[in-house]
This record gives sequence, structure tokens and C-alpha cells, in this order.
Amino acid sequence: MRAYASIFKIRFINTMQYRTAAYAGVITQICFGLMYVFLYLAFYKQGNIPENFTATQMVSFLWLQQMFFVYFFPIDQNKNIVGQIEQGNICYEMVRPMKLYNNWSVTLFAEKVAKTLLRFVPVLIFAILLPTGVGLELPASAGAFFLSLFNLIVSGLLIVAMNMVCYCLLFKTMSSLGIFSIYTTIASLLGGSLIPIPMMPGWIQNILNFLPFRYTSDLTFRTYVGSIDIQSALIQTAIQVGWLMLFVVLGKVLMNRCLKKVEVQGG
Amino acid sequence: MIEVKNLSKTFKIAQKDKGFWGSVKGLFKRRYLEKRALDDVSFNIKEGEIVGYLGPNGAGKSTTIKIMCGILTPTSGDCVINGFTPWKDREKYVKDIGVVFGQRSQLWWDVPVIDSFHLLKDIYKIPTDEFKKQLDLLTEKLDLQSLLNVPLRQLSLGQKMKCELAGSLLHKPKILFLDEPTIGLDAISKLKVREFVKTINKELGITVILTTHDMNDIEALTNRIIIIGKGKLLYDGSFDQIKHKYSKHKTIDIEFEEDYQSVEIEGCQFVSKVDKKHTFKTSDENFKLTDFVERVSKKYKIYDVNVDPINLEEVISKLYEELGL
Repeated sequence: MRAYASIFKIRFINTMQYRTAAYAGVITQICFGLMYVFLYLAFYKQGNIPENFTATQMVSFLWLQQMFFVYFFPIDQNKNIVGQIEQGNICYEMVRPMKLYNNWSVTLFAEKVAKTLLRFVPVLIFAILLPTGVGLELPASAGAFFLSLFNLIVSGLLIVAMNMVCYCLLFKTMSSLGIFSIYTTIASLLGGSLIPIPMMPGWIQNILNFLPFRYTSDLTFRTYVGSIDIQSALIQTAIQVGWLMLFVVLGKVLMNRCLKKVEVQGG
Repeated sequence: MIEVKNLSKTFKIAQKDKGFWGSVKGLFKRRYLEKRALDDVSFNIKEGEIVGYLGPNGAGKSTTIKIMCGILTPTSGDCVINGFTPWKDREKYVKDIGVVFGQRSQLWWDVPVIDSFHLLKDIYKIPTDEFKKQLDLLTEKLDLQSLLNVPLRQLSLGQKMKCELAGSLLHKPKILFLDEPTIGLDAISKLKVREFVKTINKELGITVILTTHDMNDIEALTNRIIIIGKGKLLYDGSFDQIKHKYSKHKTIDIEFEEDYQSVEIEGCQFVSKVDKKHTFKTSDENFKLTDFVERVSKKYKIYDVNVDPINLEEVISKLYEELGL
């Protein structure tokens, strides 16, 4: 356990070094936040108001999305891990007395958290200071806040677990380009990062309920803003945890199979 | 300590046809070529030995090392090291081995070296006092003090290698695998690495298996060598014996007073000529310099003569030639 804590620490500290990237990220997030808010408000003015998703909720939802943009980004393309697979540096990981799956998951999660911490505070302050109607509102209730906090943590783990499955596939394809960009597009669309799910047609929403993607940002943010009431949020949280367990098991099985078959040729 | 029995490893390599249409065809139908990287290799290594594992590029050296480290699973054969089968009991087994791949890095490249070492301490669950002792020892032996707080990416290749060596020994392994540890290093760094490997072998009793293309590494470190080529074991024995076998081969440089167009000497083979300096080769077992000079000076005016015994690189290339590699 200590080893994983250490890996978390070293990855965390290391990611915190990259401040310039974070500043750029903050500015981008604020610009996109403003743009989305005014864009969707224009839709709402036309009278197209979806069920269970008021204008204030929608605006808060959009700001949360910008605040936690890196946290909920569908895939973390970790250069280190990709390099290990593509170039064979995995050799060294395999001569260590530890589970590669845990090692990589901890690395991914640590970097995710570190990147988020660097970015979310300035966006948060900006969004709170904005006038009512275009800024971030307080959570729907104390319960909604704590539940969404729990959702937030589980979401991070779920995204990492799903990423691990992608990394296992990388063993087969040996090139990160295809898988990762296709995955990013699909996961963003089906997870409601491109268009908020409440604005999609009902039948699509029904399908998305059966897929894992919306149990990350969509669930977390809509619990916070109260677009999902506490009772259904609790049920969906259980589903979220279920998906997490499923992907962890799947990832571990795949990883073990890959490691048995891994071939590092040359040099 | 190390028993390797009938180890074989076959790689499947996807074949691609030439050109654009070849690539398109490859999308639908893949042909695979089987490549035997290792073919029935067996050997034993005792505790405390240093063994040089040699072979030309692509002979299967690294593949053997990777199998012995538990990274690769062999197609067939057996290997018991320290009571474990590496690829089956990987996580337990690797606690007792240290590995340095000369062309890859095990330390985290964007953090200070000492942070990497502390991380290794936690990964290998090394008790704090033991870790301190071992780190002090390695710091002293490798002269690391000034490097510890520098991120790895800012170190030179030689400094990096010293840190890699230290990193692989923090957990006091019983066996150390070195895959081309001196590749790309300058002469001084090479000497330091060799000296260090010798010390840890003697003082800590660590068994060392080393692959290299630098014959001076072998000369400095060990007398036992194993040679493989095209995946097959070709030689397992003493290095001196091989050197002795080829010691009759010599290179002779003669500088003449006049610029002769062609010089013929009995028993010698002409190699090259630069100005007045001619180079010859001989394989005469009863070669004697005095006789030789006397014989040649009857015909030609000699200014200077220099005789070199065959060098190690040539010994090995001769050997490879003879073994048909």
C-alpha cells in the first residue's frame, strides 16, 4: 500500500510543476464556460426548456463542467504509460514486485487530481463572482452536495478504470492514436460532455442510462444542481459503483492476459 | 543458483508485402513469420559468479535476459532461479533480482534521483535503516553525492548509468542482470562501471550476468563466458581459452625507409599500405620478431616495426566467423 501512496505522491508533486499549462487551461475553461452559457441561454430563450433542467441548473452545470474539465476528460493519455507499451519500457515495470494494474491506475489518478487542483479554483472563483443567472449557484441541498462529492470521487476512479481497459487494448494495437481519439469522441458524446444529456431526445437518454459513460460527469453535476432528485441519485450512485467494479475486474483480467502474452522484442 | 534448461522462444512477426498494395493486402490477410529467438539453450550459473553473455546483435541475448527476469514467457523449456520460475512467480521472484537495461531507464526521468530511490524503497519495502546503509554505501562507491538532488533528465549518460546501477542494488538483490551496461559510455565511465561491478560481486557476493559487445568489459570482469548466436548456445567456458586459441594471429606494421610499391614477405599476408607504412597479418605460431626483422631487412630497408597481438574484438569476430554467425 505504501508503495502506491508513494507513487501517488511522486506523480502528484511532479504534475504540480507544470503551472504554465494550468494557467492556459484556466483561461480556456473560462472562455469556453462563458461561450457555452450564453449559447445555451439563447436556446432557452427560444422556449426549448427541457424537463428537470432549469436555466439556473443548466448554467451551474456548465460551469462545473469547465471547473472539472481535466478531471472528467474521458482519457488521460499518459505519455509515460503509452511509452512503456509502445517502446517496451514496460520491462522495468515488470521487474518490480508490484501489480502493474495498480501502479498505472494510481499514476493516472494522481495526475488527474493534481491537474484538477491546479485548475479548478480560479474557474470556481470566477464562476461564483458572476451575477445570478450566468454564474455558479450553490448546491441544491446539503445532501445533494455530499452525494455529488462522492460521485465526483467514484467518477474519477471509474474513468481511470475505463482508461485501463483502453491501455490494455493498446497492447494489441501498439499505437495510441486511433483508440484514444475515437474513445474520446464517443465517451464525450455519450457522457454528455458535448451536449448536456437532459437536452437530448428522451429515447437517447434511455439508451444512455444503460451505458457507463453518463455515470461520470453527468451524474455528478446533475446531482449537485438538483436536476436528479436525491432518491434517484442514490440509485444511480449504486449503478455508478457497480460500473466501477465491473471495469476494475475487466481491466485486471485483460491486463493479466496481456502480460502473459507481452513480447518485448529487440535491444 | 541459476538453472536454464532447453529454453526456446519463438516470436511471431507479422509480414508485410512491399508498397501500397502490400499494405492494403495486409489489412485483410496477415502472414506471420516465425522467428526462433532462442533455440534449446541450457546453462548453469553458480552463486557469486560473474558471467559474460555474448553474441552478435540479434543473437537472443536480451531475450534470454528478459526471460530470466520474468518479463517474457518462453515457448518451451525451463528455468529455475533462486528457487523460482521467473515468469510464473514474477512478483515474488523479482524482489531478489536487480536489473539494468543499458538502453532503457528505470528511474523516473523528471524527478530528482533521490526521489526515485525513495520510491524504490517503498516499492521493495526496504526498512529505513537498511535503506540508509545501502544508500550510503552505494553513494560512496559510485560517488553519487552531487547527483542525488538533480532530476535524471539533466544527468549525462555516464552519471545516469551510475544512478541506474545504484537504483538496481538498493534492495540488496542476490542476482544482478546487466544488459549492455556500458553502451554509449566514455572510457572513464566504463572503467568506473567495471570497477563497481567487480566490487559488489566481491564484497556483497552478488551474482552478475552481463551482456555486452565490449570485450574489455569481459576482460576486466570475468573469465566465464557464454556465447550464443542465432538463438543457439555455441560456447560455454573460459575466455582465456578462446583468447589463447587466437593468440597466434598478429598484426605487423612496418615502416620502410623507401616508398616500395609492393612488398612481399613469406608467411605474411598484405593488408594495407599508407605512404611508406605497410600492414601485414600473420598466423604463424612460431613467429619471432628478431628472425622476422632479419629476414625482411635482407630485401628491404626497414625504418620501424610494430607488432600487435590480435585484439579482443577481432578474437570475437573470428570466433563468430568460425561458428558461422
